[in-house]
Parts: sequence; C-alpha cells; structure tokens
Amino acid sequence: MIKPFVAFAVLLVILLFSMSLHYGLFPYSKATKTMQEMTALTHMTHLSLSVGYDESVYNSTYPEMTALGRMDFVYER
Amino acid sequence: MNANAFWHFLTLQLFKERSKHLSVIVISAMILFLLSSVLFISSSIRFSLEETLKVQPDFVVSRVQGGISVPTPMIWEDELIDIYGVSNVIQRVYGRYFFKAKERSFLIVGVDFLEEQSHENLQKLIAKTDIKAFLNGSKMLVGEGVKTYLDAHFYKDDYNFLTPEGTFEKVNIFKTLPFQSNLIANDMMVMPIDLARKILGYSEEEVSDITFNVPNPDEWDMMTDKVSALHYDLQVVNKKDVQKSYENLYNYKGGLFLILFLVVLSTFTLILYQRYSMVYSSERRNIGLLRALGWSINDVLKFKFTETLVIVFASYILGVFFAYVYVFVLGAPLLKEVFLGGQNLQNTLTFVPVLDFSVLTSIFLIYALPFIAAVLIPVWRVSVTEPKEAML
Amino acid sequence: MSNKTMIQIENLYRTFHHAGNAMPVLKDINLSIGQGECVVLKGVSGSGKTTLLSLIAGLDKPSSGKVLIEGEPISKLPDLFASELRAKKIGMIFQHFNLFEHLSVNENVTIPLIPSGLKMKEIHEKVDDALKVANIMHKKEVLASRLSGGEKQRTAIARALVASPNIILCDEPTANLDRDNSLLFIEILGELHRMGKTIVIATHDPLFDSLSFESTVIPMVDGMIG
Repeated sequence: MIKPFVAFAVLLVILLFSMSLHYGLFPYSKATKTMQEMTALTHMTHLSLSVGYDESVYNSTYPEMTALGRMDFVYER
Repeated sequence: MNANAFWHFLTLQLFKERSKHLSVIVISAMILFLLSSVLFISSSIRFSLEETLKVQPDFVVSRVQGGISVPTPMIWEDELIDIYGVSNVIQRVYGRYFFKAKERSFLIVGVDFLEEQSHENLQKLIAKTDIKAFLNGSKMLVGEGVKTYLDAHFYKDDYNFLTPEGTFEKVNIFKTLPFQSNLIANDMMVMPIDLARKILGYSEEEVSDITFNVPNPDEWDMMTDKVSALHYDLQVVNKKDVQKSYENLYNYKGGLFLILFLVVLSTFTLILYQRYSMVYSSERRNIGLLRALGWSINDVLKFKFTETLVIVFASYILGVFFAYVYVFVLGAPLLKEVFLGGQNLQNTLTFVPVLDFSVLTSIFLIYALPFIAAVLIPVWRVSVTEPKEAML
Repeated sequence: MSNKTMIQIENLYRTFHHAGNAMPVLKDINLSIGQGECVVLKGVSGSGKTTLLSLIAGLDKPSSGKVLIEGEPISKLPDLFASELRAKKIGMIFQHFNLFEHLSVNENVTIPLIPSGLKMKEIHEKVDDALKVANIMHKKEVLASRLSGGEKQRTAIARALVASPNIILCDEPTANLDRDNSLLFIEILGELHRMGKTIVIATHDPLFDSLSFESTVIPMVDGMIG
C-alpha cells in the first residue's frame, strides 16, 4: 500500500474511532433521566415543536387530541 | 496474485486517478450524509420520546363538547378514583399562552407544588432548589427557548401575563429548566397550579385534563369503554394512541422521508449511470491493456471489485461520520427546523446519539450493492471480450 | 542458435464479419519460428500483419487453424491459462505505446508482474533490470505523459521485457518515432536478439529491410504470406 493511502485509511479509522468514542461515552442516563424527571414533574410528554400558533386547525400541544376552540364541526351542522 | 503488489498497485491507481474517484466519493458521501442525517434525527427523537413515554400516564381524559375542547371538571377525578383497577389519578392544568406582539406562544404548565411528590421531582430535576423561595410569590421555571426569547425581548427577570380578566400578572423567572429536557420543555413555563389557572382562565373547579394509570394492560380496552361511558362529553386517549401519533410524525417510511428517499435514489441512479458508462468509455482501453499484459479476467475483476469496494467504504464512512457530527455534535442546524419547525421558539436541543445498526446496514447495502454491480457488470463484459477488441 | 520451435502457426484463418459480409483477413498462414530468430512481417496497411500478431499473442481467436507457443495452443486455452502463458512467455510492444499516462515509467513497467505472485522486492529488482536494458532507468520516476515518443517506446520495451519472456512481439514499433529514435529502437532490438529472444515485428518501415543482425523478412500481401 502506498503511503498516502495508508494515511487516508488511518484517517477513516480515526473518524470511526472518534465516532464510536463519542457514542460510547455519551451520558445517556443523564439525558434520558432529565427527560423522565421533567415528565414526572409536569406529566407532559408532548414535543416542543416550533410550530405556528393556530389552534383552530390543530392542537399543537397534543396532536392526537381535538383542536382547542375548533368550531367548524358546529357550524357545518 | 501477491497481496502486497496487488494492494500497492491498487492504491497507486486510486491515488493517481483520484480526481476521477473523488467526485464520485464526494457526491456519494453527500447523499449518504443527507440520508443518514435524517435517519439519525428521526431515530434520536423516537428514542427520546420512547424513553419519556415510559413514564407518561396510561390514559388522558378531557371534556369535549361539540368538537370543542373545554375545561374538564375536577369532580371527574373522584369518579375515576372509584373505578377498580385505576391508579395514580392526576389533574393537569396547561395551555398555550400567545405572545401576540411577536406571534410566539409558550406552553404554560401548572404543577401542584403542595404535593410531596412534586417537591421531590423538582429537587431531582434542578438540584439545590429552594422550594420555599420558589413558592414565595409568583415565580416560574422556564425552558431554554423561552428564556432566550424573553431575554432578547428585555424580559430578563420577569414577564407580565395578561389574564382573561384583563389584568396583568407579573411572574418572576426563577430558574431555567435543564437543556437536556429541551426536546419537550423548550417552550415550557412551569408554575404553581393556581397561578397557571389564573393566567389561563380556569376556575378552581376546572382542569385541562385528568390522567390516570391502569397497571394491567389487558384491561385497557375494557377501561376505555368503561371511562367513556361515564359522561357523554368525555374523551379518552391512551398511551398507545400517543405513541402511534408520534410514530406517524417521525416514521421514515412516509411523507417527507419518502420524498427524500426518491430524491436520493434518483441522484444515486445518476451516479450509477455515470459509473456504468465510464467503464465502457475510459476504462475499456485500460482493461484491454491489462489483459494484453497478461492479466486474466479474474485478475481484472478482483482488481476492479476491490477498487470499487474501497470507494464504497470510503464514501460510506465519510457520509455517516459527517452525518453523525452534524446531528449529534452540531445539533443538525437547518435540518432540525424541518423536524421541529421553525415558526415559534428556536430550539437548541442536543440530539441523543442513537445508531440504529439495522438502518445503517440497510443504507450500506442499498448503496453498495448497486454501486458494485454498476462497475463489475460492465467490467466483466469488457473483460470477456478479446483484449484486441477492448483496445480498439 | 537452438532449433527449438517457439511459435508454430498451422493453417491459420481469420475472417471478420461485418454487416453480413465475410471479410477474410488472414488466409492459410503456416509459419514456424525458432528460438532466437528475428522475423519481420512486412506489408502495407491492411495486409493482416497486426491481426497475425494479435493471434500469436492470444489477444484474438482464429476462425480456424491454430497457434502454438512452445507447443501450447494459446488460442485454444481457457482465459486463465492463456493469460498466464501471455504473462510469462510473451512481451508486447504496441504502435501507440499503450502506456498508462498517469503512472510513472517505473509503475508502468511493474504492471505485468502484479498478478505474478512475486514479492515487491523481487518485482523492484526485475523492473530495474528491464529499465537498464531498455536504457530508460534515468526516467524511472517520470510520469509517462511527460515522456518523448522515443522514451515512451523504451518504456514499452522495458514493460515487454520485465517478465523475462522469450518472445517479443512488436506491432509497428517505429510508426510514431523519428529516424533517430527508430535507429535507437533497432539497436535495442539487436541487444534483445543477442540475448536470445525470439522477436516478431510487424512493420512497413524500410529501416527493417536491412537490419544489422540476422533476421528473416516475410512479406505479407492480402492476408497471405507472399
């Protein structure tokens, strides 16, 4: 193998190694624990989506639930 | 074939013709980067949500009248407690507060801090919090996004809420919630439940909804029917529905992801076509020459296969690595807005690194197999013709 | 000189088919070339000399008849054995040099030895020997694209010699060279002849009419030996 290729291969290995290192050493327990503690305190698990405030169309807090102040159903009747 | 001589010549060829290979590696790595980034973000969000959903209540009950969500009477709480098999009944007061001047909204969440459990939970979340100081006067905990936004609009220490009665309610910012919870708490304002009621216009007998747990999952369907029968205007949502709605939101097999896959596939097809036709034009003479110099068809195929494999691995590693850094180290600027939206508060969350190896393997196979085939098939076709013809 | 037959050609025919028409290029060629002989196939363009050379090298298959290299029928052998025979026993020098332009002289000459299974050290030794014989050692590290026509031809000679083949086949070797370089090439050929190599040259260059070393000129006319 020629030297520049060896250097390139070593670079790729270093990239993989550093990725594995970051992956292995990431404080998962801290991250998930904080999220769980937050949920335990507020009992809320909705995503903090950065969407516009238009709750006549959808419930941005709870997408699976009825939109707040939705009147079209009544008017259609 | 001696491995040393073979690898020497292979790497030499790769480097001497690097301009030819580099463009393919760069474009392939970019495609893989885009694809991996999207999958990393979706895996990470799903992982975090699954982790939090573990502690989410099993059922949420609210009042819906004529399709409109209205405040839920607190008396329902007692009715739920009386049902056998129901545990941990909790009332919630929350709602969005619209900061009309700038068209931004915050999520106000009321917590009953007079409960022992809430004290403990708050202590766990923010260590060394002085509960007495927090409950003394109107104070709130705010998410990082809220804090940044209010700071930028000169509400450094407090914020004046306009209540439905038309009065102002000044609330001091006590502390900022930990950044690790940004995925769910970025736009959150956590305050004592009575204060939240006042700002959101709930009476003392009303809440937003009531949650409860049913420890026996076999009873969930039965419980849904039972609770729904309590009142005509009662709506029940269970944890599975919530999970489903989030899965739909971040499922890589649908919607936005499908469009992305199509774009990626069409770009990839172009690369494969370029590679395929390159073998017929420029590589044709080289392959013929190698054959004329005593290389067998096997030697040529082995050489081209290994060469392609090196290119495939290099682009794959580069694509995945840069996607990893982009998503899990840099927080996926730009792409994050596609997932979380960018109309409201800026979310500076750190994605929890999640490598789904089955997805990574699928990406590799989807990319590597057609790529190798696109090179080896024409190489084989050129190789099996007589070298004299290949050199013409 | 030994009388061992290096190349034996028997009743060789090669016909090309184009748009439904059969075009015979070689007709009933019979030829025997012994070890150390130098044969010059002379003829105008289209007389079939390059095709004959391709058939001897196993780069093309005959329509009928056979070509034997040291008794082995190269045209009938499976690819693996034909390639091995070509790699070990035949060195080719092409009209357009056919070098890999992005590689250096040294690297170009290495190519035939890659599948040989030799170690890098042995390969380097063989390459250096070939470069010395072809008198191109001083340009060892220069890219092929930066060489003059004569230097390219000498690199091609070194490449043809590197596997120490007994047979050297040259297809119009001086067609792209000036007179001085052509004479230099012939001088190297003389050296190879003295080394006992069997040389077959397909050319129409008059310089090959009266070589300073022993050679046989075989005229070719319309695909037949005249």
